[in-house]
Amino acid sequence: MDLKAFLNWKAILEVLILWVVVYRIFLFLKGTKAVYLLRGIFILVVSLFVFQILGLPVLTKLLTYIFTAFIVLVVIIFQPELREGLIHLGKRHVFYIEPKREEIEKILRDMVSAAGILSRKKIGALIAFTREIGLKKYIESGVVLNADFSSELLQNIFYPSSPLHDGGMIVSGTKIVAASCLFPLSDNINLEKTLGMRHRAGVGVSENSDAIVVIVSEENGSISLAINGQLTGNLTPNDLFTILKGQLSKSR
Amino acid sequence: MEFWKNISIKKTVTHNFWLKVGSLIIAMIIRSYVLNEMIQGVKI
Repeated sequence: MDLKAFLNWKAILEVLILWVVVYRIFLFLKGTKAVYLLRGIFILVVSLFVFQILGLPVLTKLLTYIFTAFIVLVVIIFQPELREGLIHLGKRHVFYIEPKREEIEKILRDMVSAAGILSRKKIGALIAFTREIGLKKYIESGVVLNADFSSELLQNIFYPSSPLHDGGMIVSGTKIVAASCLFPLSDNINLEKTLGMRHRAGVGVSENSDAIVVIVSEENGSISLAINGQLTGNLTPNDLFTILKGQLSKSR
Repeated sequence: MEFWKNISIKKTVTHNFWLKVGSLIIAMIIRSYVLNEMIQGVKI
């Protein structure tokens, strides 16, 4: 590799453009099942480079054929995810936009207020706060709202006669992204047998992502939190505020 | 314009840091490979 040629501005520009494209593709894959492809792609590309450097023409050619076939297979198998990715291309910002601390505090206060009211009235609720891993497939199973988060809206949605009260709510940043979403049930045999489907769904989605899930019981009004498949029950609104604040701050 | 006030350069760098590093490595490898193929006159 000619270092002088490599360092000229056109080369740098090409690498920058390629970098952004590759990063955006990987970022998108990170929120889906196709994330496991990342490791495979990385290994293939690095191997191709190593074989080329070592001057192994047969292995280089062989790996090129395998890589070509691999790309075709990926396009066929992950066609729905790729189509969605193209639709959402460019939606993400280049810079990291930090939500204002006041906005996060307000969300937490609204959440705790709503949880307290729902708990007193014994109205069941299931709310997943997303962090790094996207919950795209669950959002698609529900009704997309993209509404500003508020205690009143949250209570409204989970009110028993509301059309969207069944299922889970997904919150991302300062937005209620979707409601009435289907969450996967946990098949953890160590969970208490008395736990209902709502709690199992909350634990289930926390097992399949890094989401923090707030669960309000319909039976006794207790407030629980599910993180990484672990359920913590009988929380007071203050406990809920403290834990949520700690966990959501950590993810940033 | 308020959008610009909330930009964090530090977080832009550190957020998904290893994914960014991996993407840069792959971008450099892809460019190097394609350039090599072009120089050798091999049709891609």
